[in-house]
Amino acid sequence: MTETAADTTRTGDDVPTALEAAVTTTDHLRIGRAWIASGVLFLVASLVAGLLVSLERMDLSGMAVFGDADSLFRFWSAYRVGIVLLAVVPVVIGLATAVAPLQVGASSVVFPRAAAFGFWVWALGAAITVAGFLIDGGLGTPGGTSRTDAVALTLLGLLMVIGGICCATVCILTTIVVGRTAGMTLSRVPLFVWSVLVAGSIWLVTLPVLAANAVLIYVDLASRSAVAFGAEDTIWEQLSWAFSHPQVYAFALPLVGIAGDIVPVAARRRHGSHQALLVLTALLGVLSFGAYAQAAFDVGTPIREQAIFVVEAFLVVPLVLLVLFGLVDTLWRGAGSRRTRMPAPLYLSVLSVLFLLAGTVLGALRAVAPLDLLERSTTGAQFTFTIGAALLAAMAGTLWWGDLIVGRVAPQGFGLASALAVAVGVELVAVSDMISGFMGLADFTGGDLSGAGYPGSGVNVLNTVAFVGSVHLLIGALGWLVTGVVRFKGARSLGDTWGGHTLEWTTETVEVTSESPLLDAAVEVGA
Amino acid sequence: MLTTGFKLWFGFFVAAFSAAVFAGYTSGATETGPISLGWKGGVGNHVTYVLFVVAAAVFGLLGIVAVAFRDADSESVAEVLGVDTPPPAQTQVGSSIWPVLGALGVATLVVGLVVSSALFVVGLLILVAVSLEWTMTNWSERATGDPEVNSELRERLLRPVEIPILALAGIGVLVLAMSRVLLASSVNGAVLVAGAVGVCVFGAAFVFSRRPNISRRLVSTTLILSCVAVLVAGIVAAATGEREFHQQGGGSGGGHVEVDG
Amino acid sequence: MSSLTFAPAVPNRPRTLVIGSALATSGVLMFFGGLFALYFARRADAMAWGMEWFPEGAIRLPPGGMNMATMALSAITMMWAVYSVINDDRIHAYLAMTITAVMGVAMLNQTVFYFNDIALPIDHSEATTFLYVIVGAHMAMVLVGVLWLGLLLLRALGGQDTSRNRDLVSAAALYWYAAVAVYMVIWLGIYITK
Repeated sequence: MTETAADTTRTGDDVPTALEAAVTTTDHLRIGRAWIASGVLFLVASLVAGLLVSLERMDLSGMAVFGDADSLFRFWSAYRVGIVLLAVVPVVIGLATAVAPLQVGASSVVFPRAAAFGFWVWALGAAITVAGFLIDGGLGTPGGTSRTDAVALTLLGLLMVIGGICCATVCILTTIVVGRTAGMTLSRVPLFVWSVLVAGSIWLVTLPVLAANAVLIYVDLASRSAVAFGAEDTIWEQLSWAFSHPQVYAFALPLVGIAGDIVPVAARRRHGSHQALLVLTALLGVLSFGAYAQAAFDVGTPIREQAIFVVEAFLVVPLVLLVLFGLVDTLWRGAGSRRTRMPAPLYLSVLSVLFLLAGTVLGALRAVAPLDLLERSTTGAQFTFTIGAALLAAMAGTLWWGDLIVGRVAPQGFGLASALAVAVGVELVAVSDMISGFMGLADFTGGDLSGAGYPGSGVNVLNTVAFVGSVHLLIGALGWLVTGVVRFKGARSLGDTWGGHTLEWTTETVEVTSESPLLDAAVEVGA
Repeated sequence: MLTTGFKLWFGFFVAAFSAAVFAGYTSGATETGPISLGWKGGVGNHVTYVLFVVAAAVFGLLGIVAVAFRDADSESVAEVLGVDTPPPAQTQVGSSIWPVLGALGVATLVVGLVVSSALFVVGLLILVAVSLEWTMTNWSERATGDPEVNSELRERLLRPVEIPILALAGIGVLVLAMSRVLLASSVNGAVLVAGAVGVCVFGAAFVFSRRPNISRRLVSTTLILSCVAVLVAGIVAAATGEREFHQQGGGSGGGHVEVDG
Repeated sequence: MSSLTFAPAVPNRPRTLVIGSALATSGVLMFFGGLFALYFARRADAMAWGMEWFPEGAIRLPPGGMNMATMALSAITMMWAVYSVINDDRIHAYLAMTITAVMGVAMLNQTVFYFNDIALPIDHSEATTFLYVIVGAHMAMVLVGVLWLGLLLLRALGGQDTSRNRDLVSAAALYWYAAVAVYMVIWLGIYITK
């Protein structure tokens, strides 16, 4: 459907090369593809870091992989930052950039040049961040052995990443608000669009706070022998709220929309109450505001032992349950209909909601003070469940809307197998970390496990299970990458792949490929 | 009528302010502090309270904008304009180099903050240039209803400025890069490099002049690749550093400089 | 002498720029919200322990007050610009935008002068680090606003700041008002309460 037809108005030298077109594009489908492809590549890189950390955790006595605890910490933190801000969020933004305008009946994302600018700022920032981590920088270490200039570079790269994400979010949100076609009020938009509107609103009020933290650290680091905010052993503590409960829910929020759009099409039934799902998504958004949970600035009672944190942690669970109930209800009412289909993205999207539920339950358990789980590896388990849920939903989204975004068909079976590998990986890593956490394993174990009294407790076995899970995650991510590559070589899509009822399946996409800003003839993308 | 956008963001406002008050009173606030923004009494945990209050203010602002514009629904926009169908939110724009150049400017600026102030200034200059170009492109697209005229307007206004500046900057960068390469090479190596580059330039010019029908793309690709090669070589050479220079003849100002190969 | 006439450009959809600006400005406000939250938390902690926050006499009210007055006046001139554009009064629009930008520059100038004058090292204490980060970030915000106004003036000279394109100025105005609001918090939170 979205195959680019030859531009009959230009020949020879006037037609931009593929590289020129990729670099200078302002087309929302191309920008969306760039976000998704880059996100998947950074996902693979992040998972390699995670795999190495898991490998090291299997036997910490010798530090055979990293050599010292600080290097281990560097990769451990790189994994968390990478999988959220360089992988999951970018893929969601890519899906939203490509699909949301079509879902609301707009021909393009609003401010397309700014959208492209957002992508490039993010991409270069991501490269700088990764470089910072690799040259002994990162976001601080317990032992303080990092290179100061490399830490500064990492922080500045992180600022660019945040800036790029916020810029893209503004473009998408403006498109959703302003670009809607006649008759489509905000209460009628598809759930994916709504979830992006809600999640984007939360990102816009929380990521700048992370930027504020990073600026403060950077200035302190650059201006003197840092003692206040730039002290190396405190940097991660100041930033870690963004990669922990409840803020991680904000990054996973669009999964409600992805599942909410896939389920009714597969079930051939409308949601029992579209409005109820809109409200639930908004409430989830409210509860995912996590910028306040800054443990590094605790005075008196720690913030994570205060009522607001505990109440928020517990309220989120029934909301996710209600979302799940709504989706299952739609599926249930559609069951038995001969028209009901069970495509791969359906399984994945429902599974992603289940993982989110597991994440929220763990989040609630972490908030129970007597269990003393806040600094345990339960934190990692909760992170893995929640971000893993977002990852699965993103995979479901690319399988669902991929035909529309690329215009070519992907092998659904292979895509499903890759996603299932990721699901198994998430399950193994999260469950083993959860049990280890209950047994007392710290979130970051640092040095020698034997020194911390773990031998014989079974933690080593669980760490081995987590390693196997990490291998699954990496295999799944590589499979996702391959699915994408194969899609570009696949057969041309025939249009409405799933018999969807939302606007994107009825809109003819237009791709602009000319190099002149003013003289382009929009190239009709042939159906 | 309260619009959906207003309900969403105003709901967020209510939730955020309620959370601020709740967090305040459950973290040691006194009197009416959390309700009066700290005017009468303490607000409890400052981080939590301030962040929730600012978030509430921001959501309140968005809610007001949403309700003032009636969610910018298509129908309300049409009513404002007095037409049946409002114009699209975004007219088609073609490819543009400014986003990627702007991002490169930001990256240069950022790396410059850590590496050198000169690089920082270069990043700043790139950003200023991109801002101007971007603005002029936007302006020209809205100048008239005729895209060809708009394009011509832009060209006439900006080309006389762009071409000399770009040429000067390009020549400057290439000269700087070549000088780094020559300074990093040994004495004989520098001669060889200079000779080889000269021969390449001459050879390419000769080939191009002999074949006037050669594809423009081939010419531009060759030039771009050559410039990139020189630039990369210059960066590598600058990172390597200059070769050692020995002053011979002692005395002040008397000796000539001999370069150690 | 012949004259050429061209069809006007298709009008922009109203609201687009203003909503985009509102969203972007929200992000900027939250950035400052984050800084203020940490600032007030640390300051309250220091006060509770009876520790010195800013060195005695380092923060003086008159410069902050002058800056506040300048920013407040610039908000009025910005409103004047919006009003003029809505009424297609181009001369007043140029004037109002120029005065607003000049006031922004004046505010930057006053701040730089004041900070040179007090010569308080950034690494003197946590408080001074906060001071420089918050005031510096606000200066960057104002600088962006001044540049934005400059670019708008460029477009205005090209004839585009008319009531048909009022969103161009309204969007910038929204951002400018936010800059004034942020300064108000700086003035109250840093210069007055110290």
